[in-house]
Amino acid sequence: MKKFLLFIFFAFLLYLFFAPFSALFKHLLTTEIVPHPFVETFRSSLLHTALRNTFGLGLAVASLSAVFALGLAFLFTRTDFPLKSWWRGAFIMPYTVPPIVGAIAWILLANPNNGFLNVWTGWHLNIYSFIGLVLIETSFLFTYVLLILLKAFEAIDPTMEEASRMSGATTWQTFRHVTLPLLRAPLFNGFLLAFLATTASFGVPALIGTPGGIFLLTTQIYTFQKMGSMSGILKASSLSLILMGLAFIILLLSEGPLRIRQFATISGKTPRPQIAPLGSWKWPLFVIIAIIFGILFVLPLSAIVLAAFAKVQGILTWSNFGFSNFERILFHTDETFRAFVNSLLFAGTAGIFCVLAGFGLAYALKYVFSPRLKGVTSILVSLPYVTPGTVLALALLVGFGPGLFGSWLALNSTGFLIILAYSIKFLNFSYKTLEDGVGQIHPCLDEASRLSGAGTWQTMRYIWWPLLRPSIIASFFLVFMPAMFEVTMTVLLTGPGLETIGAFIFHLQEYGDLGGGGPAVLALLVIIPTGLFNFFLKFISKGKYGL
Amino acid sequence: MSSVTLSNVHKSFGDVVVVKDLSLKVPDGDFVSLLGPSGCGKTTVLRMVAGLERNNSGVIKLGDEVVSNPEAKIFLAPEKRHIGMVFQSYAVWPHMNVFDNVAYPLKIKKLSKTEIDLHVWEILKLVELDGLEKRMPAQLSGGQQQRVALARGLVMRPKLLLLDEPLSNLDAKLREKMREDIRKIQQQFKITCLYVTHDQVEAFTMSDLIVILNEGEILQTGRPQEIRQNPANNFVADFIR
Repeated sequence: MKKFLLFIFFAFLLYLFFAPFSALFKHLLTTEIVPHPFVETFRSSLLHTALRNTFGLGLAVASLSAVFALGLAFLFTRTDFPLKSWWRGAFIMPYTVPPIVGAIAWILLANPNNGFLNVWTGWHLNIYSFIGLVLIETSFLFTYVLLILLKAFEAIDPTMEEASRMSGATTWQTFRHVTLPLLRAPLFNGFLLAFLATTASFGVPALIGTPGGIFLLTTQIYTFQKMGSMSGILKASSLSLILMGLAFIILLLSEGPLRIRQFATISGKTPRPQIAPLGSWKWPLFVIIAIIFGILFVLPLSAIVLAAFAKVQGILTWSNFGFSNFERILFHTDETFRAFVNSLLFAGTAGIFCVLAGFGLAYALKYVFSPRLKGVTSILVSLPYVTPGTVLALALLVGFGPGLFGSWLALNSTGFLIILAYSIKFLNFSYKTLEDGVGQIHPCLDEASRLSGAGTWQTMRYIWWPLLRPSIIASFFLVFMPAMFEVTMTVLLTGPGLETIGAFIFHLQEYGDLGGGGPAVLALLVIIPTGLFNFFLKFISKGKYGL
Repeated sequence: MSSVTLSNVHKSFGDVVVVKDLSLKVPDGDFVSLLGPSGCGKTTVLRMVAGLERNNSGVIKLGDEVVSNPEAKIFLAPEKRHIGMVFQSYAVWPHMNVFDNVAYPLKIKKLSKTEIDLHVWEILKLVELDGLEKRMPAQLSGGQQQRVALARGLVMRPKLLLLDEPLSNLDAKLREKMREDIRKIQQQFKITCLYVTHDQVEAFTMSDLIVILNEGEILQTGRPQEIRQNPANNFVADFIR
């Protein structure tokens, strides 16, 4: 009986992921429009431009991220760089912040009309450019590579490097001949991950690229979709297939493709590697790193704070600052309250669903089904995560919009579709966390409880819940946090009354909020809770999750 | 070849004192074992000689050259000490084959290809690895990796060879053979060896001189025979039994 129920549950999860995509295919195959939209898309110069832009941006961002992250990881793990543990935490922070916040900040700083930098210095910076895209995307995505490399640097057995020193090699020779070759695989994986994330990104390209006439595959899909016509949707679907194909090719290239782990566990035994003295390079490097940090993070954050508190943008007098933007956005804009409630509701529901589904999967694979299914499950659960959000949202719209199980329950323009999107996309996080948690509980604890006379329910309540509580809370927040401020999927699935914070910020910025302070206020309201959640997560999991 | 002299060497990690005011002379060409229970500071002594750890005070000399003296702000980087070292974990680089692993110290010294070939082949024959030079470390057994590490330590003809529990990861039979091989090679090269172990059989069968350490202090120094006949105190007597 238990086995049967779990089987149904498995089948349901499979259905949730595969049905939308089969609908997407069916849609494209059965259309009678001539010429076929797929063929038309393929011939279109729009596709070629979007492909070229996507590839170019991906390569630029991934290469820059790899070089920058490699340098930082080396400084933070192998040298006597001043205050390195503080810097390390500071440089990882952007990992948790939605990149759209960066786009808002840089628009404030460097839009060609009245960007702060242009107004104050007389420069002619234009953020709506390819360089602007590269700058903003890199300032967030290099953290992916940095996290992988920090872990990899720490995983290298220090005696490997010591043996090289004893062979007569200097620090630099050791880095070149021993450390760097040992890092080749993680560096390559980090590069691919940054490339993949760039090609799947939507918020930054939509706010920065689109006004500058630079379209990527994701923003082109969005534009086609928003045309609203059948042919537009079909063209969007065609582009989606191409984008998805691109993503899967990249994944096949990477080593251990779907084993990409977010929120890598950083705790554990850390061996002490040799620390190279930077000597006379120490302070010049410190200044360079501080300047980079200032430009990439302090400057944008200050711009947001200034804009949020300024009554009139760009004026730096005390009397110009106050809470008028907050008042307007929080108390005189109906959408704000609705967006917060919706975001909490959607992300919370998705979090609960993912905890239940993740626990069900982890438990079933340990106690009911053969553990050999673990590998397959792990891949299946990761698939939606690595599918670009734009593609996933479009598939859900086409597949489940008209109804779940055929036309049994129409979901178009209901929050349910958004919740489903979050759940499918982020199930990966909760499953991996709970699989770890369940794996650490030895079966004999379960058995001892049963032999003491406890039934399934009592064993769950008295043994599993107390032991698993940290993992359950962590897995909830790992889903809740990215879902709370999600933009990419939400803007495709949202509708009147269904605003979320992410979608609301996006629309405010896209349609030019009067006075300009609105998006900045909301961006602050995103940054602060993300920081708090992260701190809470780290606290509750005793440093295992969170940054 | 070279002797090693430690005078009043002191080392602590934070509040934890690991080596207390230790003085020791390793005679030129001798095989000297540092013997003691785990956590007694013997590996730290070895690593300070290598230059991988810095002593807080005291003087370390290789031959007549002072390589570390914090009071005089003298510290010679490990790569400049010309010391061979064999690690407990072998530390054979997984991305280089056997030949490249062994040739590395010579490549760093920028020797010509013919010279490198000559020296590497000689050493590979000595440690009985000829024929395996193209293998990657993952394709080698523990004993073979151990020999790669040994060959790498010897190939640049160092003044001094440091061995940090090199046999602890091998099975009993292999350990016995390696004990004899290491001793044979040491005598053939007439190289000074400082050998760290917690295994008293190893120490007693291989060494010219044994130094017994506990809690960062030397309890007794002597030839194997002397220590066996006249243990300095109960701890030593108990430990070597």
